[in-house]
Amino acid sequence: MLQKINFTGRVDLPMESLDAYIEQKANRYLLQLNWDLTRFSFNSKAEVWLEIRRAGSYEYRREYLSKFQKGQNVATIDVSNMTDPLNLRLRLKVVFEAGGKRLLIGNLDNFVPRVPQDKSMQKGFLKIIKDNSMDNPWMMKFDLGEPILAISGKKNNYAVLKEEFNFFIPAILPEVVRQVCIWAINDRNRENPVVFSKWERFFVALGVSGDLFDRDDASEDEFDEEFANRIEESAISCANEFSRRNGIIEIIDLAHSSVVGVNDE
Amino acid sequence: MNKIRVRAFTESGSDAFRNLIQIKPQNIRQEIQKLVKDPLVSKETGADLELKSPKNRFDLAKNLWEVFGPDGTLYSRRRELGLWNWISAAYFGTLMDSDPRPDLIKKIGGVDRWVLGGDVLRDHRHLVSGPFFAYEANSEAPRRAMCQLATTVTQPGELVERISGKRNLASGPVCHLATLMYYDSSKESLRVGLTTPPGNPKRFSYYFAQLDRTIDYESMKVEELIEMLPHNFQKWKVFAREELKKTQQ
Repeated sequence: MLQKINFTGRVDLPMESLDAYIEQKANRYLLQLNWDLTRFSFNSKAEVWLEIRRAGSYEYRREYLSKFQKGQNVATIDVSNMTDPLNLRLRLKVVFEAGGKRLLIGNLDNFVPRVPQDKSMQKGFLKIIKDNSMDNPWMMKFDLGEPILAISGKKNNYAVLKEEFNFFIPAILPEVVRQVCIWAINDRNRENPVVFSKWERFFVALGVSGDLFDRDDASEDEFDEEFANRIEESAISCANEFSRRNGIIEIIDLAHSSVVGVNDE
Repeated sequence: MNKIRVRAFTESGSDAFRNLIQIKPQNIRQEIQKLVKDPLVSKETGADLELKSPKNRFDLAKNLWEVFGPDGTLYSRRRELGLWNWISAAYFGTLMDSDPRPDLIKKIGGVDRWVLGGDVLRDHRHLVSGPFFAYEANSEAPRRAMCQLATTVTQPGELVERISGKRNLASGPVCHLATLMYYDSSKESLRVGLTTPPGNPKRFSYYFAQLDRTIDYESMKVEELIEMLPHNFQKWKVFAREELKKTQQ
């Protein structure tokens, strides 16, 4: 039986624990933070720290936020001196010192703060094809190093799903993102480096750790189980982030409202 | 003294440079020289740089620090890809001359070594900006980053790949620890046999990847990190303690 070991009793904090956005004031960039750890029973001597990195660089800052306390907490950090304040990645850490070691007892990694104008919706490079042989209404295929969204062409499936249900594509996109993320991390062949690199950048921008794509095959024997879990967690959090950032739930809600409106007439 | 006026490649300049590195024509040196001087594919920056043959990555980084460091003319532009690509093109001949290996193709190597593409996974391999950013990330005490800066510019080696390639290892106490373990300050070079297990850089990187989930090691002192290392690093712990003693004397 597989036994999971968690020496420090570390809690992986959910994304909802933190809200962060970049506010632009004149020439300054302010990182506005709001965190709430009420549901966790950390030791009152524990400290809350924030690590700020600029995506794709060595740039790194570390800020002490507060002692652990329940309720809403806010902080403002001036990040104007960082090279690209609109491209930051955050890590929230709850640290407790015991036995001469700084134990990590709470962790939220790869948090992407919201920025004034988020244009990530414009990065459309997913290939969509019609496949007349498929009995499954849609599925992801990976062909010659490229992820492809295949929609069955049987009966009117393709036309109905792609053209008539205007919420179909938005509704499945987060799941597409999750599947492609798992594929991209596991794919070692990289048959189409141009396409691969586009996806890699896309995932890193959504907060997936760049290290995952550069994994050394030789490490497989050591951390297989842990690595598989990391992939799964990263893919889910990336899909959530994509959905949140692009307002997928809101898009579907609007699509539903408009359908209801038409029916009502 | 060979001072050059620094320019920055335009996008087409960087593309042309990338093509030359990829194709590696026989007259590559002349072609790159032509490209460096071509006003159609590069722009003036107003800064000067002394182009000298560097002894090692530290030497190169220190030289670049004068221009790209906080007091340098190009500090605010230090993340510009076209600028680094032009500088590496300008350094091409000097670096080729400083590498004694006979095989030019091997000396040139892959595109990542010369052309900065803004890719988090590969940019540390850039022969010119890589040392600078390693220096910058440890600028409070750059000698603590000798694990990343001790080797020659054109042959950075495995330790650089392991440490520079991981942001969490590339600065702070972990980087200092790697220097204490694998760098021999009396010989000013990396220790012989460092890539042989146990306790080699590959294991070092794996160990901290594991630890990252349980310990906030960035906030620990290097002395504490040494004592925390497991038994398979024993040989290197001894070196680290000795080196630390030397720095404290």
